[in-house]
Amino acid sequence: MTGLTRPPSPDDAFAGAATANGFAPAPTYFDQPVLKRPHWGWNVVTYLFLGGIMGGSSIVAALAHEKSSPSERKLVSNAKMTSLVLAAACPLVLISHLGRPERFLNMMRIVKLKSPMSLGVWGLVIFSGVAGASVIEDMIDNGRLPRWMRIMVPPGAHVMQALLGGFIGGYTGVLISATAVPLWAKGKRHVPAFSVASGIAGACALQSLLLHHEDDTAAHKLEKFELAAASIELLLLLDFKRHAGPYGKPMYEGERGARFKSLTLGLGLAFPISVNALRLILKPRGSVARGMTIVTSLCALFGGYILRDTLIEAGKGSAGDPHAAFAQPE
Amino acid sequence: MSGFFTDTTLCIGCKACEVACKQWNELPSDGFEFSGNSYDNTRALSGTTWRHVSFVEQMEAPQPRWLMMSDVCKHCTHAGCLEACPTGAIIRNEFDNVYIQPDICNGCGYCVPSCPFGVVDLIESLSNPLHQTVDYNTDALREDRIGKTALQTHGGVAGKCTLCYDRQKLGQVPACAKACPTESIQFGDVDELRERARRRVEQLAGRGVTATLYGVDEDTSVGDLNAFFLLTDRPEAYNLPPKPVLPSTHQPAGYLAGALAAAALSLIGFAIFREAE
Repeated sequence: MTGLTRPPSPDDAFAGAATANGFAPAPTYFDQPVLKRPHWGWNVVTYLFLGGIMGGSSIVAALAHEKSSPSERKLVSNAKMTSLVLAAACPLVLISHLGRPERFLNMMRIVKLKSPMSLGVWGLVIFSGVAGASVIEDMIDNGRLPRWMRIMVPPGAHVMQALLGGFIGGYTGVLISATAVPLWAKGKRHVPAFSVASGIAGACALQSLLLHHEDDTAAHKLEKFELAAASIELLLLLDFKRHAGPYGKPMYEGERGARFKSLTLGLGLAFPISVNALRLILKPRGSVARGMTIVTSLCALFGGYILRDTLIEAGKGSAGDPHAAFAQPE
Repeated sequence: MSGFFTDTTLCIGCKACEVACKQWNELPSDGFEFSGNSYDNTRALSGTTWRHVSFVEQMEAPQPRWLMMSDVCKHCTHAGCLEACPTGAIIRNEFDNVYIQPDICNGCGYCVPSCPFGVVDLIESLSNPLHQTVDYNTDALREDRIGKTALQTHGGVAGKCTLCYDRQKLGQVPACAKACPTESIQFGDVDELRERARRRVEQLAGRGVTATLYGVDEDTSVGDLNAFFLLTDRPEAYNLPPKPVLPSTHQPAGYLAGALAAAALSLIGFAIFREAE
């Protein structure tokens, strides 16, 4: 008896496939999962989404730093403030996952290089401090805080913040792929890379939304940067489908896959990419341009959230598939 | 270095190990539910089930057989859960066993998908109505048995076999091994157990039974298992992964790919923001 039969699910990627060690199709143990499903829900999905935008915003702020046009200076202020607000929000989201605030303190007992979660918590803590210093620096530059407060700002704070931001955008991908979940493990290169790209694309979309200025310089640059980041993200996600093969089924097929394809790949990536590419040629102005920005940015942000949600939920599906777990990716 | 040698050829499926484990560690019941999976209504290891007897029915084989195995945490040489744990709650204790300190665990859940064997799991809240009928002394999970444990609070912590850390400290044999009536579960020094296991494989070969050791002389990234098994079928039949992979081995490639993506996009961004309009 090779286990009870149940209706085929798109999560059962390996059903009927021959095993690598030459045996006939491996019997499962009553179709019981080999691996335990991750317990991560909406809070972790939200953290992945917000953390990516937070890291991306700090990179945008560093790129536009010391630029002269009024809109770019506005962009820098916005991006720094966004980073700080998100740096305050992220621990709250993580605490909502842990249950009680003091549980977060346990994360700070040790520094563990082998654990991406430990490194990430420390990255987040240091990032919060630097993000605060950056906002102070910006307020001094805008004359809203006295000059002596510059002693609280370390030199090159914006560069340090961008480096930490890049780390925070990417470490979540490493954290997810450094598990036994077959889909995630298979994406050990793709998941961190598209997490970074998605964080930057999301940050550009959010900053475009927040930026309304008569001078369009920053807006145009943001559009181009978003175009680049979203294109790379889309290419990585399409390449991951090819690379993952049967491991990718829980993410790219079935009902979840259809939702992912339409909402993330279509609405969240292909649509904003096409519109932004058209804008490079047509160069619309005024309320038409603003309207397009609002629509494409909201779509991009929504698609980014669905990407994180799909990744986590598909991971649960993948962990539940004993055939995939028998063929754990190296 | 202590561990288990579980010889599945001796297992009679009595589940005394499951019961002894639950009793000694004061773990709550799993409820009464029929799985339909042969005589296995436990289904799998969990945060509150640290021994699990599986019943593998092979009725269409030339000689129909019924394989039984008492599964347990493998206490890996290179443990995925231990490496993943961000709080340091999961430690390697003085007996070289992988142990979760319940008062330090904060329930982040990262160890759960980091175990390539699917052993460790979060313990659901003990306010589950099923558990309220019995007054469980959850202090038992805490080494010193004093004060409120993490288990008594909502949200839960991770749980798995402690290899009866408390019993070992008193020089006693873990509850499951003590209760096993056929010595299918043997406890002792791992090196000695491995020698015994190799002799057992030869002995069985002499009787015409093909047996292999799972978790001994492995070239996998998790290394040898301090709780290893003697099997008479391939590992998949017992729901064991044939080639478990240590999750942290994915990290270098991941950090590199993330850094490359960030660097490439920063360069593109630098070029875009540098141009004057």
